[in-house]
Amino acid sequence: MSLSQTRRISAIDEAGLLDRASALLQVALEQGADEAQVISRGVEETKVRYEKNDFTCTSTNGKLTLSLKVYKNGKKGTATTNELGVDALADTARRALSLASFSIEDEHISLPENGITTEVPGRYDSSLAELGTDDLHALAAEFIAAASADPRISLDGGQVEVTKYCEALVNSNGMSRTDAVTRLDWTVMGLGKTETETTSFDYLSDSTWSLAGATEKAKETAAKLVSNILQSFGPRSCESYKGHIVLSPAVVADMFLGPISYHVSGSSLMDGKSRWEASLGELVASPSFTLVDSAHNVKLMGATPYDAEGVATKPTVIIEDGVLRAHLDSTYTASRRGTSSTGHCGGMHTIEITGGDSTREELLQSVDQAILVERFSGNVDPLTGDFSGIAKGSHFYKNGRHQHPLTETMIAGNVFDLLKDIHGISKDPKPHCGRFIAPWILVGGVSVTGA
Amino acid sequence: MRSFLEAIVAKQTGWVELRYHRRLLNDFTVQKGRVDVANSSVTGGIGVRVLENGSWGFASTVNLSAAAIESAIETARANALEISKIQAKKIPALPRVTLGQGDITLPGYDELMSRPLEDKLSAMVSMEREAAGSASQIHTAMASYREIFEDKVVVTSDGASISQKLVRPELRLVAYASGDGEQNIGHTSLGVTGGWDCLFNHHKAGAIIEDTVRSAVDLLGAPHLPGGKTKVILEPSVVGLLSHEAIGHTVEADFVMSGSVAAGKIGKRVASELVTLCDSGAAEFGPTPGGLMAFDDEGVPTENTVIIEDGVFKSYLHNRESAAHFGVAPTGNARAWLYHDEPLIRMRNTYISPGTTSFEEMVASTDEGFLLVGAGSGQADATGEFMFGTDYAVEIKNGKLGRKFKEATISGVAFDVLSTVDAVGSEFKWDLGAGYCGKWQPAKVDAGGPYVRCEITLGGRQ
Repeated sequence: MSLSQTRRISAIDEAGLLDRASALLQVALEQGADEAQVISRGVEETKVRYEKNDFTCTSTNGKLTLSLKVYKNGKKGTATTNELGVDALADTARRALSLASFSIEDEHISLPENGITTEVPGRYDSSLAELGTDDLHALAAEFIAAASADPRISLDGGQVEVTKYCEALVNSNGMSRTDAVTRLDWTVMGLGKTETETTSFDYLSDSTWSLAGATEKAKETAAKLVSNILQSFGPRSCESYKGHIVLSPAVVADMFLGPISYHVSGSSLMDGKSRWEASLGELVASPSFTLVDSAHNVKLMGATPYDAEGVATKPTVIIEDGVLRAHLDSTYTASRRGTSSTGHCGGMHTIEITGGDSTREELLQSVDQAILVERFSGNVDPLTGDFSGIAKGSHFYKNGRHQHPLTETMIAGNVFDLLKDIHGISKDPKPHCGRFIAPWILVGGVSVTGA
Repeated sequence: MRSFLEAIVAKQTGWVELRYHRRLLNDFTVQKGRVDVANSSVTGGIGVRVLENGSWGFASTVNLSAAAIESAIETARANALEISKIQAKKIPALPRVTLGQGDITLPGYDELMSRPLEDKLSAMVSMEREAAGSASQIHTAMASYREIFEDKVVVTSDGASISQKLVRPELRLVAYASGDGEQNIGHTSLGVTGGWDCLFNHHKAGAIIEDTVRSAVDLLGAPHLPGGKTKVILEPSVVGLLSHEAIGHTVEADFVMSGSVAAGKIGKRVASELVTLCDSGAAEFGPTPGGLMAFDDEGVPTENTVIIEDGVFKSYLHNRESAAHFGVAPTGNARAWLYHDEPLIRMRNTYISPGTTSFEEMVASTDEGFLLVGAGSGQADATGEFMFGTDYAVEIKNGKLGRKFKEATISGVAFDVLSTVDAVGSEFKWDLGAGYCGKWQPAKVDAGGPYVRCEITLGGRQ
């Protein structure tokens, strides 16, 4: 079945999007905007959904969005639309300018100048862009078969989705950018079930830019889910204690990235919310901890040549050997703080935490007792760093030996305390769910509460 | 739009559902005397669902011409035929049910649409300024307002033809306090289905500045909660979150068919006899909850679904497909977030019915425990194990309220916790704030109840 029959509901390409963006920019300026920026985005997607242990629906969507930001007399207004009618552009400009008319004047608002961006190749695959629905179904069937390989596995849900994503960004300073990517995303959620026991659910997801090797990569995700679930039968609680835990890459990301991102961001810094305002060059973590926003690493799905306002991205070392090296700014926060944009309007892009020199097993053997936390279901306060929640899919270890899976076990502590209480980092950081690259990390000082 | 879609559906063979959805979302955020967000967003389109060869197919389009919609129908059909090749169990024909007809506009829509946006932003500017200046420890305040106007039309080939308009305004206030090298956040959010006055008549609106600032300041230097299983009194927002996270998700029929802990529980005792737990599309016991709606996104009239009655399990939450599977009537729980989303089984307004004990009696009869205040975010498991955060805890000793503690995350197993309920309050409140639920796609929901006393595990510090 050809793409034209299945997915191309609305024609989306970079040239068409650039025309639409330029047209709206022109309308906004004609209506009186002093400065304006337009982002037009087009998405063609087909997804196959799996629920109740069976395939349930295939859906195809074509989406188009025009987002306008205007500045008028030092005041800002924004409006978006996905309507295609002849009056939609004028109406969108009118709404944005109307909002700006009664907003509050802010001397720091301005749009970035045009600059040179670095290409980030390897994010567009024409074979994925043209993938037929029958081929997508075949890939999904292999993925789900691998995830339900054991009769004790019950799959609650899953999805495989192919997306072609195009974007054009223009502003009244002469900036003109286009970008196009393809991606294949898969996710699966399941649990173990026997006549006498139902395990906690687990879920995993991953993504790729290209079709080559996608089936094998998806089946690796499925195999990991099966392994996690089968290892979680027969859980017990453990005695409460305060001490060591080993964080999986997923938990490292869930716990650490929110608070770190919050306290290095220009918006927190300019409002006096950051604890790291005067900490550049100072030790904020264990000397074994290094975190980089590589920005262009196509092993991760956040790789991008420019940020949300078109400013070029570049690799940025944020924490190096425990020392804070960078604050992250957009054009606006940089103006407020008297610095320059670092290409971080919209936040960090591709995050990598550097590996250490131990294996995961050596981390577990290095302490009397620890729990190994595969997944964290809880809350992290990015401002204070306090966290509390359930250690899901977790296991109890004594003297490096596995004792049993855990149930109803809660963990609590403070992220900023943990960053300074790192006892070991594994040497094999890997991409996880396409979001980040992180190793396993052994930390101390965590409150563990058993049932 | 309704007659336009009816004409298109009339030309089709087989089961077809067309759902037009246009959303106008306006939002403002004011912080430190500046306007961070002043945005107006329009999203519209048509979602098409077909049932062909025992399989669902879905497609959507932003193009509202008859030709584009008919093309989307063909795409949905092609999708259905393609997936039917790998789908093991075919979906039987949907049962005949009473489906919605006509046009309905819920109260508040016209009033809020005609109120100038400038007035709404001005209210946020005033609120932020007052909050920021109301205590020396407050260094930043942030006030946000959002309104979501929903225009929907659902037309199906088996008789639904309904248009529904409603609006859901939301209000959020956050205060940042600092002192002695420590920072803390206080926050309050509220949401309704209704107009401006309805939002500001919410029981939390009157004291929103005082409560938010006090929450931020009082927790500076407050101790962390000790971990362990203990007796607690849950305030209405936490009762709502418990009803939603711990019970509501496990009784969604699609989740039940996947093997949730609620499978096979119909007719069995699962909770204390003091517990009656429901999910309703209407306003039960209190006005204008945030998940109010007359019809769901399959055109089925909503109802008050009794899930647990006096501790005995009575019903799951259904769409048309799951109702057919279980041989019952649909409960009006099919919901889609945007035009390009398929309707899924989702909650609306989930609550525990009020009992007879006053809050004062409940506290006075508690020797030792905690009052848990303010619903945070949470998750639930197929086993019924749940976790969610609360804003803070107040110690109870010898029947009296005492110190405040921070970082109150709680956990338990849903039906086990409900079995420990030994008191249900008499005062009912809808109180999930500006809450959203996530399940593949967002949904605007509300939840609430009276004060409830039970036993639960606190995830505090050792």
